[in-house]
Amino acid sequence: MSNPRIIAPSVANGFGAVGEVWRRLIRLAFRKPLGAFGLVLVCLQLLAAGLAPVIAPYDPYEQYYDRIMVRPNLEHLFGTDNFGRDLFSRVMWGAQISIKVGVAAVSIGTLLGSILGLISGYMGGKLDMISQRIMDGWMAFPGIILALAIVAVLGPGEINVMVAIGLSQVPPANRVIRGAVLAEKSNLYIEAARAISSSELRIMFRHILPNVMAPIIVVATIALGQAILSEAALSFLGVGVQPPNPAWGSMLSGHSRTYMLVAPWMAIFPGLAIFLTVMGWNLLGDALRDIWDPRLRTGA
Amino acid sequence: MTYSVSFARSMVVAVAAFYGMLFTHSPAPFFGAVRQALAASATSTPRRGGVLVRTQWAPPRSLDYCRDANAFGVEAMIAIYEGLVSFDYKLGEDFRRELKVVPYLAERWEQPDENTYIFHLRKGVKWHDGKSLTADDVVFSLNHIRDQKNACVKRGNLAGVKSIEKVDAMTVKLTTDGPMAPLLESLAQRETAIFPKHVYDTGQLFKGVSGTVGTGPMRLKSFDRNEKIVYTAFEDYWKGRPHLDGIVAYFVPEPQSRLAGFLVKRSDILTVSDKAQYEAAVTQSRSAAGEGFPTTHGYAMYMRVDRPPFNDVRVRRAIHLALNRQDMVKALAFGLGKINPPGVSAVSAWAMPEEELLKLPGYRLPKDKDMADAKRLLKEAGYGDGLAFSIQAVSVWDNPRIAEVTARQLKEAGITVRLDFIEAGQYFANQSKGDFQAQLNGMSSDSIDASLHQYYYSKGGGNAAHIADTELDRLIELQRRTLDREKRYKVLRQIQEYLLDKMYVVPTIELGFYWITHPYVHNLANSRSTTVMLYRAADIWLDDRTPKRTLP
Repeated sequence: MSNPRIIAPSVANGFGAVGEVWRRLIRLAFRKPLGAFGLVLVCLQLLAAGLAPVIAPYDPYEQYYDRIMVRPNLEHLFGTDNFGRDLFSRVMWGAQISIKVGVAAVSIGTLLGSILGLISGYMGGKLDMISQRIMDGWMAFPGIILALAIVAVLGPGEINVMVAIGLSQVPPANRVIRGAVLAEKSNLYIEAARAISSSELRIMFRHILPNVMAPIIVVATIALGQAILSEAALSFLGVGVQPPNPAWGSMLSGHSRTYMLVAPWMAIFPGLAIFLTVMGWNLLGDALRDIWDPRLRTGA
Repeated sequence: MTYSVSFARSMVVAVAAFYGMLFTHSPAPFFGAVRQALAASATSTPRRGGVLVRTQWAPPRSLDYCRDANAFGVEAMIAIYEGLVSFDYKLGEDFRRELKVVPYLAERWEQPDENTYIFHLRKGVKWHDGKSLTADDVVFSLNHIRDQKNACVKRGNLAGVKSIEKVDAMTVKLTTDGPMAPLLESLAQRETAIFPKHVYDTGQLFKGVSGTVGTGPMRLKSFDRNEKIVYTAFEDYWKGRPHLDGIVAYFVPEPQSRLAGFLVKRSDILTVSDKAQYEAAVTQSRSAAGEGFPTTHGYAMYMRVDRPPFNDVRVRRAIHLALNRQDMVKALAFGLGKINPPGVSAVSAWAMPEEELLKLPGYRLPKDKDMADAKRLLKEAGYGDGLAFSIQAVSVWDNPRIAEVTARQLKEAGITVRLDFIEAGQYFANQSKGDFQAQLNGMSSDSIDASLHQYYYSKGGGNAAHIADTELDRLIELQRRTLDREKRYKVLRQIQEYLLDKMYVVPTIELGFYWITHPYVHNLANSRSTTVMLYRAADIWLDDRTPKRTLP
């Protein structure tokens, strides 16, 4: 049985808490306007990706041969390509591919990098030394070159691109998380956990991991922008998501390049989509890093 | 036709055309006037000197004109090597309609009986190293090409040749194993070239610059497969010293880079594969002139007809019925392309007339009946719930465009196609291993006999579809042995009808192609080729508007 006199204040407190969250968010947006702008861009991309089936006026694959390379107009906001396909619809659907590949790749990279970093940082000793030398070797290859090499072995395609980009993102995630774990493991609560005979696994995953989540989120957010850019680069080079799928990178490559002088809108809009999306994720990632890093926090 | 219009007026028209394109997006009417007005300012007396610069899509794989005589090999070597006879390439004429064969290194020939040809070599023809052309060179070259162990790309051109003998120093007798209707056409093919026996005897033939010795108007000066190939004029050329001092061809795979180079006059001639690019080039350059033509590079879909699902003729027919070639011409060739019958290029004199072809199932409009038939055939073949397969296509040039349209059209009939765009080397490796379900590729040949033997004959070198049909083999052999033109045409019609029924290879369209030159380039004979532009290099000349250049 509930007591109305108790419920009423708690509801009021609830609304108060929500209001307080909004107020803090607005204050944060004013303090980090670029981050807020990034968040808006990210939200727009997520909306485009989620609502593509609703807001795209045409089937992104449908070819209209009587509307080839029509310049942007009210009927075709971004114009049409050399097959008469509506570019606005293709860019909207492209957001889905971009997000899908980006999130999957970052999940692979961050998850693998974080686990390896956690184990390496916590265990230390020879294991740490060996795993970090492996990471040194891994990092010697620029991310996109490594992804290209992996795709060359696995072959083109959406899944392979996710794996390739994901694997190329393991070392940076590993380094950041290892650093955070090294700082964390010297804390007293870890010693306390050891004192009560907690297992190493429990200490790593129950106590340390939750405390290094902030850098993991920051790494993942920044990596997402890079992953989207890498996907676009691989598709641009013809080894990523294959046509006729409306991946932004492949839209920017091939036919767009051929018709750059005749129909520049074929390259401009997918290019703009890549630019804004990557900028959005990077700005958001930078802002999150600033917020969660006490050394960079204003007034800290 | 030319107009006499002042240069200044022409420039005004050019600018108007450019802005007209921006605002109306239908610039074509402007171009003709601009082009022809500026062409009128050219002088008509050949001028000696100058270096012609062009861009080539890719380098030849090697300098071996026997083994690597693919399109890029031919383009690199066409000004160096020559044949006994040649097709009659002329300015402004389409040689493909009649395939008229004219004397070249042989100044004449005679045919004492159906199986014997005697070629009399032209006197005074010199190799680039100063030695004279003899019958020994001809006997060696033709035997070298047809010898299986040399793996010459076009060895099929000489299939049916029984012997090649030297009669005297300047006469060669060629005997066939029966009547050979296309023999002269085969000898006129650019790949059936004559090589220097004396260079072969030193073991240096096709090896580097010193092993590249021909009788053509240009000598090889240098070859760097990562950058360029340089030719210098051959002073002792049998037709007289070429007008040009030399030619430089840069290897530029990127179309926009080729176009940019052309626009700033870093190259003098350009090929593009569609009207949109052509109009961009002509508009931007303001003075360039061009010519569009359908090529003989017909795109077609090969399937492994010896394996499911394509071993069922109903599936192949359904694919044929589902394609809308008229839309392909619109989308891929912007109106200039041609719809191909099976087995032969639409521009060939042997092709089934277009008006007849366009009434046939698969080719006719509207598509409703064909589409319904395609679905019915798929259902009968057990694919009522849909058919799925993959098409491999080379990831560059026009292949992706054609593949995308093909896939989309097949979707209408419930056929799901996965497109695999792969690098050319991998593509051809898969083709020779038979490692594919279906492939999309251009089937290129000026000679119908060469084309049928290469792609459709059961033992053909390019029989990627794995066709093994004794009746088809018999018909292909029969057309080769039928000397009477009328009778041969009937056999070739029969072959086209047979292929329409069996649909071993699904034909699509010939793309349109454009050659564009700056107005200071003269006498460039259009070979109607997608890449090969230097067939009559000795005749080309540059007027005094050409940018000053020296041979690198």
